[in-house]
Amino acid sequence: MENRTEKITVATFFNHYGAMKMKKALGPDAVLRPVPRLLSSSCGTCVFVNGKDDALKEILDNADENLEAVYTKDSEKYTNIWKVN
Amino acid sequence: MSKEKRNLIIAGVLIGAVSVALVALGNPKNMGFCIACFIRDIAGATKLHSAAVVQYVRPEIIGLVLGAWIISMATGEFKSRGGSSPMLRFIIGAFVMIGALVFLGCPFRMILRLAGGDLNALVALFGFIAGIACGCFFLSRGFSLGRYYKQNSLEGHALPAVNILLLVLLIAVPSVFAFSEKGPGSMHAAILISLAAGLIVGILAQKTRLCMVGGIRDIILVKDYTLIFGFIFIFVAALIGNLITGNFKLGFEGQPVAQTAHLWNFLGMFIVGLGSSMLGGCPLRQLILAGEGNSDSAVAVLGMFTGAAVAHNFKLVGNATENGPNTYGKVAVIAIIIILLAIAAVRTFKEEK
Repeated sequence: MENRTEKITVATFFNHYGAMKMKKALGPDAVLRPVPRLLSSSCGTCVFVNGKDDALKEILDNADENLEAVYTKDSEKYTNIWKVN
Repeated sequence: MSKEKRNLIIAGVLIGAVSVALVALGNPKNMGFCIACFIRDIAGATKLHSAAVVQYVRPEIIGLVLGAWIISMATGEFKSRGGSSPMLRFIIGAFVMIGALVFLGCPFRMILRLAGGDLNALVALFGFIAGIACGCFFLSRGFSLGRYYKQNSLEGHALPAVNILLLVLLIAVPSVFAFSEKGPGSMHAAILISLAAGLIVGILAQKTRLCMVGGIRDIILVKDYTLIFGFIFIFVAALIGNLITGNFKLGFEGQPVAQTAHLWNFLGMFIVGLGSSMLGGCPLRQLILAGEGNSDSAVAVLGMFTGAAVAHNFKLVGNATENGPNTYGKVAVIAIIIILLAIAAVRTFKEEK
């Protein structure tokens, strides 16, 4: 059997409302979660996007000034793929 | 079970145990830790207020800030940042402190009071949850105090440096401070024990992001139950500790440093819940964030420090002997709730989105 892990993209925000708006824009593939401890010592809300190859593009297309960073998650390892200036 | 949840359980148990130990070693009952009371005691020791029974430089506070400071530098998580509505944070910090002193405890002490059998803290817990729910109402409709920005590193080190100075003065020239000779301020564990307790809890709280407000907020906003585990296990460990040391007494009446004025206990902690939701964390969390370089939280801590002085100088605080705050205190509570709601509404509905 093929051992596949689903691609997960995680977007973090400067405030909760930014995460809420992104979740609404991305639809049912997106889930609101607390920011994982591995990503930050702050305790905001982030958006997990499951199984979408073009998640980064979709996040950036819907982004406003509240978006802080975007990561990909591979098992327990997070890789930063976008960050606000 | 996730690693985050497991770490919160371990931290909660250790923090509950440390809190009970501090009482056994000299701190007032149900006050192993109380961020509001201890910042208030420091405000008294530095003569910002003159309430003679609550003046002492609490090394626990110094330890909390320095514990978070040391561990965040060691792990590369120290980041100087700020610039998110500092003046509003100062005022909200002061309001949170006044609300806490009307109840006679911060959220941390509320848990410890519950674990000591003080049912007045249960009434306060309902107020606290109602305040957080109110804060979540605004958060989910766009409330924000604005984003933070990267700052010069000195900005983030400033509050830890002030705490080091306080510690040096406490040890080297304690005569510059005012110390209580009776009352809660006169009851304390030895300096190095209190400092060590603060450092341990500061490190644990920084590593786990433990927050009394965050746990309830996450349940309401994103239905996540991770952060609440810290809260629950502090309670469980302190409850067991109090039963062992004979400090558990169930009831409303005759509880240590407490009042049975239910409405004001409820409203005092409503202010703390609402204000802390707006600040993004409880008073303990503000100290920890300040320790890891967040100057916005440092400003909130200074607001709490000032709020403590205001609360005592203008006699707004809860009163165990008169069973509740006086008229000034009651008016202040109502006014603060109105002002907090106004700030929240303006920052939610009047901002350009």
